[in-house]
Amino acid sequence: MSDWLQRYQAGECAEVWAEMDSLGVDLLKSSHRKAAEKVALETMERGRKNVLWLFDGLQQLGYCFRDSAEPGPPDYPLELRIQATLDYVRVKGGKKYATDPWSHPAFAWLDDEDIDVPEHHRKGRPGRSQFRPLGAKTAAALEGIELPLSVRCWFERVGSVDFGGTHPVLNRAGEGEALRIVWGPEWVGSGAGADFVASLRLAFQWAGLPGWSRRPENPEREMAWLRSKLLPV
Amino acid sequence: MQIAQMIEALAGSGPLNVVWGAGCSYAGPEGERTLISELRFNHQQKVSKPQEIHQALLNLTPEKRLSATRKYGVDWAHVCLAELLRTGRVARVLTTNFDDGILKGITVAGILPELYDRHFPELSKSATPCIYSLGETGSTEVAGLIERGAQIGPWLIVGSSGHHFGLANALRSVPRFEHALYWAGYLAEATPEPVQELFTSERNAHFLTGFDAASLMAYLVRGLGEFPPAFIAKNCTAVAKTPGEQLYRWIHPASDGVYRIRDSFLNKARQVLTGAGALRGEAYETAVAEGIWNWENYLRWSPGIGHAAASSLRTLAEKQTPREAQRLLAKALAFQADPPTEDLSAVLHAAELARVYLHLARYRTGPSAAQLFAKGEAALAVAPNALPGYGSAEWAKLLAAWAGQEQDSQSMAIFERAREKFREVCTINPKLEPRFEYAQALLHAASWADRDHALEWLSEARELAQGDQPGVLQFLGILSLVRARKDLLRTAELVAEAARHFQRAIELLPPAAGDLLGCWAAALGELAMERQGREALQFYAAADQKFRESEAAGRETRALRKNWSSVLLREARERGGPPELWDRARRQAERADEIDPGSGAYNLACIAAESGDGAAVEAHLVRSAEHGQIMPLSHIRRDINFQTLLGEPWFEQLLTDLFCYDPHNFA
Repeated sequence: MSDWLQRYQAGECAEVWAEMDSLGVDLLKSSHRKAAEKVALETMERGRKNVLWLFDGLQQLGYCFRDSAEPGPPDYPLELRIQATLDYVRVKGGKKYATDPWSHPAFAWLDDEDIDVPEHHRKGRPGRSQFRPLGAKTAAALEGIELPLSVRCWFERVGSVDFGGTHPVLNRAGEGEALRIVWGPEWVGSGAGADFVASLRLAFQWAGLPGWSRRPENPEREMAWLRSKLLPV
Repeated sequence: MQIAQMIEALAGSGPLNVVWGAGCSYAGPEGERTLISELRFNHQQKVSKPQEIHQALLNLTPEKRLSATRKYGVDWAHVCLAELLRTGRVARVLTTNFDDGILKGITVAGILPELYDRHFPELSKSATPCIYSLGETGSTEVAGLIERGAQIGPWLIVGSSGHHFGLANALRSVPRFEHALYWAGYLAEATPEPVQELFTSERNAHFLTGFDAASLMAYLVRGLGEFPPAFIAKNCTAVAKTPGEQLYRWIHPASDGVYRIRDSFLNKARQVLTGAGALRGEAYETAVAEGIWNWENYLRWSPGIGHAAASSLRTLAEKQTPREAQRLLAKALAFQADPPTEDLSAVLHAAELARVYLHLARYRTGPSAAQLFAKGEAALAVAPNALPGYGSAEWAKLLAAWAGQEQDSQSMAIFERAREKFREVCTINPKLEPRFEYAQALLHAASWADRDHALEWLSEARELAQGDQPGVLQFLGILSLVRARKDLLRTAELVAEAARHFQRAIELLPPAAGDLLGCWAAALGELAMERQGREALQFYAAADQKFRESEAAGRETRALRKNWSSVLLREARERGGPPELWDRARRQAERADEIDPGSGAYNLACIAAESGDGAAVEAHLVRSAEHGQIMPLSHIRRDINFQTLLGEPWFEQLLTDLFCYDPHNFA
């Protein structure tokens, strides 16, 4: 058991998680807890890198991230505020912020107030609803809730992730199944959570778009390029 | 402090007292800059900094004050303030502004708060709601009102720099605001220096960042009531595609559904920029600033048509000096910085970008010009295929112009690419118009191409231009004479053929005889320029005869005088004089200049170059540039009249001064 991490790092990912899972609810009470947590940390660190790469790589391929939820009515005061801030950055921000005004300190209120930029401003880039990284408010919500080890570690290390979107080849009408892990009560449970890791593995195998696993033909060229920088989990 | 905390506190407190600063009316650096410009140029006020605006406005009569400031209202800040007054969330507004934004806001809201203009009661004794119009009031009186009324309710300071009316001192003198004080800073700007010590928990004074006046007031209306206010969101208000435009439409409704204020931005922008072409000096500067201001306001709420704004600036640039043209074109590019998301607009956007870069390339030569052309082409290449005929036509025209403007080793290959695009267009749209455009491009290219290419292109042009209309016949006449330039063995036959075409065109359209004869003469003159000796003189004489007939038959036109001058100039050069020929060339150029200022200046510079008069060359080229009539840089560098001057330091410096525009490396 103490060699779980070494074996995981050597490539026995699925096997190690299966062994951990076989211990059932006793895993976190047993002497193997620390070893299991190390594996979970390593897995989710890889998962975090994979998620970051896929957000980047998919955009490089022209993927437009879209909220999975139905768009609500426009938040008009927010629109006014965004427009004013964009104007301000345009005048005061100089060349440095000409291409990405959103990174200007004038937009610090987006983080401070945990505000998601409306989709029509994002031009295909992922929003807060697509990716709430480590340090976002998800982590605080986990306290006192019993979760499978893998799930807890995912929300602590990675956060909420939603690869919903559209792409002329990868997700033509936005109807293809995309990886979506958003915090909610359905995650409550116990044990190692190997099935969660297995679902992650499948999702990464299909570059965040596991719907392709059930289709006879897939965009091999795009998939191969995206997979080339993914780490095994 | 965050907005949510502020709204929560205000929800449980009494009505607000609002200090309404200048930032609520002419918000941000651009608003201030425009007002400063307005005060300087239209009202001759010595003002250069935002802090001096108020005093400059005070120097004006109330009518002129309103005239200078009324363009700034009404915006969401005023509408939301009116809503908060209407719902009793704001009790008093203390404003030092002179614009009529608040008045417009309360008018739309249908309320009439008490207005105190010259005699100001203590705040505790005022009617509510009410407005204190304090613009002409002294600092002591304003500060006193605030100090004495500090505890009558919560305070909100918005759009203020803290520098005026003793506001900072008055607020600092209050040890504690029992109902709290909120100061809204401007977006990411630091706490204003005069009030840096103000915000302490003991004083119950809070500083809020990340808002301008409009968005802050909109948040307050939403947090304390409903946004948009019911009096704005009328049923008759049209639904816009984007939230930004919807916001605009809501505050500019009209009973007939026409959004006049928004439209007036557009109309005013076009009207002012069109008129600016005839102006000079400060009047021109003011008109351009006003045109750009109106475009910016229009685009703020109707994004996606930056190409229309760019187009109006590019049109204006046609008649400006190269330097001014480049300044305008830089702004045109800035208007197009964000490509529209909608496909049709994106195509128009790309085509206009290509035209702007093509225009800019006039002021460059060699690789620098090529880079600009390439940027234009790149814009067309990435445009969506929403209007295939239009996109390809623009692309074809860009390539054809590029090939003709530079006329270097790449030109043939570039024009071949233009031909491919023209053919695409003709396939998509088999009507006469695109075919004729292609034929014209072929004819123009044949005039600079080598013999073999020229003959091939002219044959194709001949097949494309079919018909018996005067325009087509004129085209065929020119085509025959261009062909004669390239086909030495058939010169006489082609000259006779051209004569038949021109004569037939004149028969069909006698009122245009003057123009047609002038065109015939110019084409004969160009034929003469490519021949030598007696043959050349024979064609010069024929051209001269046709120019005389044109003069007798038609109107006095710039084209006639300028073309006549060009042909005489070349003949004088060919013959090495005599002086009277030079004089005739000069007189024709001067008459062109009288008809259209600057239009004869380039030929006058050529004549001066022949006589070695450097000072006159400079004066005429400068005049030509001043009236936007100067030839592209690559043309000047190719022009045979200036060949002896190329490389001379004064001439190179002159070209640099005329064409160089340092602040923008457009490529």
